[in-house]
Amino acid sequence: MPTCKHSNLAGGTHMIAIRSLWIAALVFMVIGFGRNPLPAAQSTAQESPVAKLTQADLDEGKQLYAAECAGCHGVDGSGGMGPNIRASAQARGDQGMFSVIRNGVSGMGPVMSLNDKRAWQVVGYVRTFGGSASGEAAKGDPAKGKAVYATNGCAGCHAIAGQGSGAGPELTRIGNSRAPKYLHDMLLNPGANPPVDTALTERASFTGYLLTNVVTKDGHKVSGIRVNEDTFTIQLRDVGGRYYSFDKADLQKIETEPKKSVMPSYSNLSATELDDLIAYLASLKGAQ
Amino acid sequence: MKTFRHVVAALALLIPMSIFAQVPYERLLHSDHEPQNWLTYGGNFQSQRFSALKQINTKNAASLKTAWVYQMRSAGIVETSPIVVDGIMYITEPPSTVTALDARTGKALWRWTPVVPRDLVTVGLFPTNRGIAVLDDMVYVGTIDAYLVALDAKSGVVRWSTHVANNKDGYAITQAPLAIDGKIITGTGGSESGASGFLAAYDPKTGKELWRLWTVPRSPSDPGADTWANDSWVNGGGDTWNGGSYDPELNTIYWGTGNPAPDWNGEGRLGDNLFTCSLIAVDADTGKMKWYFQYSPHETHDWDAAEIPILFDSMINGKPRKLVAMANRNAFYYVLDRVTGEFLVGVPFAKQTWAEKLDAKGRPIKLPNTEPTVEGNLVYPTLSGATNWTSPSYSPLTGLFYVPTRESGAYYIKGELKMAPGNSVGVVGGGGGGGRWMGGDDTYGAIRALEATTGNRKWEFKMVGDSWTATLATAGGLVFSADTGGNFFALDAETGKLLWHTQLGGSSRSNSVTYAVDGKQYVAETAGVGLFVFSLP
Repeated sequence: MPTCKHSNLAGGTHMIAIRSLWIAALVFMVIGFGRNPLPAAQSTAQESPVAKLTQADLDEGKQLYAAECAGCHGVDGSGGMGPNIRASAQARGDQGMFSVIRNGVSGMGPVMSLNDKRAWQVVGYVRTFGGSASGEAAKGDPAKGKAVYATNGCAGCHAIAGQGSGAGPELTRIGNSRAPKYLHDMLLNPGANPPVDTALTERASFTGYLLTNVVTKDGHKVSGIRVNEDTFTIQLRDVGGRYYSFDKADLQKIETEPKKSVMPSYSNLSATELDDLIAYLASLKGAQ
Repeated sequence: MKTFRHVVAALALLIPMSIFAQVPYERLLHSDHEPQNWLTYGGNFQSQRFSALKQINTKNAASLKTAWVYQMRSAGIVETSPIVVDGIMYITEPPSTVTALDARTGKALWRWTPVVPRDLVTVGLFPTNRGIAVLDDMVYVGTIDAYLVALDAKSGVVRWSTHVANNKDGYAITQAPLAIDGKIITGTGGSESGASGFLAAYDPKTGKELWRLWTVPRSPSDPGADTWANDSWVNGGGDTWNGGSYDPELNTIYWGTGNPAPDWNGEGRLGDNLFTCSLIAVDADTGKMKWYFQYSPHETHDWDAAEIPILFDSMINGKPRKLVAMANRNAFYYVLDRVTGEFLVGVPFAKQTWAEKLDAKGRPIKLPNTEPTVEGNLVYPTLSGATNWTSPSYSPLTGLFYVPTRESGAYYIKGELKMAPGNSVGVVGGGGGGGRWMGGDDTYGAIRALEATTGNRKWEFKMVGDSWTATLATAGGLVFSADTGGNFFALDAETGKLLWHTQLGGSSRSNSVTYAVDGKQYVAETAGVGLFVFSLP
C-alpha cells in the first residue's frame, strides 16, 4: 500500500458512491478467514462427524465451549479477548474448526483439554450460533430476488461467485452466515447494527466498515472505510478502492461515523421485492 | 561477544563447570547490585520491575534499534518473562519448554521440552508459561501438567521432577516459580476446574515438598470454612496462578489468590469465601499464613486477586511504612501495611460500576444490580479485569506505580450451578456462566502512572485495544510497554510522553525486561511468537 499521505487526496470525497459495504461486511467476517481455499471438510465428499452428533453431544459441546472457549470468545462466540467466532463454522468448515481446536492457530495454541470427541462436540455447538442462518426460512422467491439484485446495482459493491465488485464484502455464501431477519434489517437500515470487523482476525472486536474522516495537519481531508487502526497509525480505503496510511501524529482530526453506513437503505423496494431479494441472498451458500 | 566468549572459555577452563553461572541466594537477595542481570521474575524480590540501567534513557530512546529476534519453535500464546544471568537468557516457550539463549545474539544454547500428555485439562487458562526461576546452578520451571522440574542451568539436563498436583483434577502450572533461600515456591492454576488453591515450597536440591498452604478450606474445621455456606468450599477456588513477592527481612511471602468456584454464580456459596480473591502473607519457613486481606469478598465476576503485589517502603501520613500495593483486577488500587495487613489506601484506577466505595477497612460496599444475570448484566470492569496478570512496575525514583490498564465493561452472564472437580464439563458449572465483552471501539487500553502512596493518577498513555503487557521502569527515566496492536514503546516515566515506538507485527502479552551484556544495555519484549531485543545503535 502506498503511504500516500498527500497524493491523490480525495478532498471532500463523498462516500455515496460506495454502496452496499455494510451487508457485505457481514460476509467478509465469514469469508475473510477463508481467503485461501477452504479446509478439507468443504472439499471432500466425506460426511462431517458433526452430522452424527446427538443432542446429548451438542449439550456436552455447549458445556465444553463454556469451559474452554467462552473465556476468550465470549459465551455467545461474539469475541472478547479472542476473535468473534460466530461465523467460523462457515468460514473454516467443520474440519477447519476441528483443526484449530486440536492443533492451534496463530495466537492460540491447541486446546489440550479437548480430545477428538470433545472437539467435535464443540464444533457442533459452535455451528448452532446465531452467526449461522439455521432454522429460519425466507418467504420470497429466490429466482425473482436474483433479478432484484441485478437491477439495483448490488454488484457495484458485492461479488457473488466471482461476479461483481470486491469493494464490499463478498456474498457468495451469505446464506450460511446471516438469517433472513438480519438481511432484512440490514437492507432497510444498514447503519443500525454494524457488524464487527472480522475480515481481519486481529480486528474482530472492532466495528467493521467504519466510516472515518480524517484531516491532516496541513488541511487535507480524506474520507473512507477504516481498514485497520492501532495506537499510532490508521489505514483507510476510499471510494475508489485506494488505500491511505496515516501516522496519527500527522493528523489534526479523526472523526468516525459509527451509525452511518456507506450502503444505502433499500427501503424503496416493495415488500415483495425485498422478500425476494432476501430469499435470494439466503439461498447463497457457496459451493458445497 | 568476544568478551563474553572469552569469559565463558576462561571459566570453563579454570573453574569446575558445576559452579559456572552459579546464582546463590545472596545474588538474588542483592539483585540491585547487578542491574546487568534480570535474576527474578519481578526483577527483584519486591517485584518492582525497576532496572537501575540508564544507558538507554529519555535522551536517546528514540534511536533504539533491533539487536536480534528469536522466533519460538512452538506455536501458541507466548507469555514468557525472560531471566538473564551473566549473558545467558532463559525463556519459556508454550506450553512448558525452556530455552537458554545467548543474550547478545539470540542464538539458542540448549532447549528442554517435557513430554506433555496430549489430553490435558486446561480449563480457564492457556497452555503457556510465564518463566523460570534460577537458584544456584539450577533452573526451575512448572509444567502445564503440574510438575515442578529442576534443570541444570548449563545444559538443560533434568535434575529432578516433582508431581505438584494432578492435572486430571484441573491443576496446571503456568507461572514462574519463586526461588528464595532453600526453597522453591510455586502455586497452581485450576480454580475454573474446581481445584482448591494452594502454595507449596520445595527443596531446591531434591524436589521434596517442605510445606503446603491451602488457600481455601479442606474440611469444616479449617479456617474460613464458615464463610462458605453448606460446605461449598468443596468446589475449590482461590488458585495461586500468578507470581508472588518476598520480603527477606520479614521472611514473608506475599501472594494473590484467584476466584472462588463456580465463578459467575455465587448462589451456592453464600459468604465471603475465604481466602479467595485475597492477598495472603505467608511465613516462608513454615508456610503458615500470617495475615490475609480479602479484596473482593464473595466474588462473582472472575476478578481474581492474582495480580503481582509490589513491595515498597514510603511515608504514609508522616510515618515510614513497609507497604504492599496491588492494582486489582476489580479496578481498585490498594496499599496495605505489609507487616500487619492493615488497609491504608483503596481508590479506583479504572472505571468500575460495582462498588459504591470501600469502607474504612477496605471492604467494598457493593452496588445493587451488579451481579451476573441470565440475560447478561453490563458491569465495569470487564471479565479480564481493569488489569490482569501482566506486571505493573514501581520506580523508586519517581515514586510512581505504572499499571497496564483496560477501560472496558462486560455483560456478565449467570450460568447453571454444576460442579465436578477436575472434569472440564463440570467446570462449566465451575464457571457458572461467563460474559460477553464490549466491542473494541467502546473500549481502550492505557498505561497509567499512579502515585504509589495515594493511587492518584499522574498521567496516562492511551492505546487502541487492550493492554496485555507489563510495564518496565528504568533509571533511564523510561517506562516500556506494548499494545495488542503490535507496538512496543517507551514513555517518559515522569510525564508519560511518547519517546519511541516500533511495530513488532504481532500482539504482545508478556513482561518486558532489560539487561546488559559487555556493557551494552538491551530491552526485550515478545510479540506473536517472536522475542524482540533492542539496543542503541
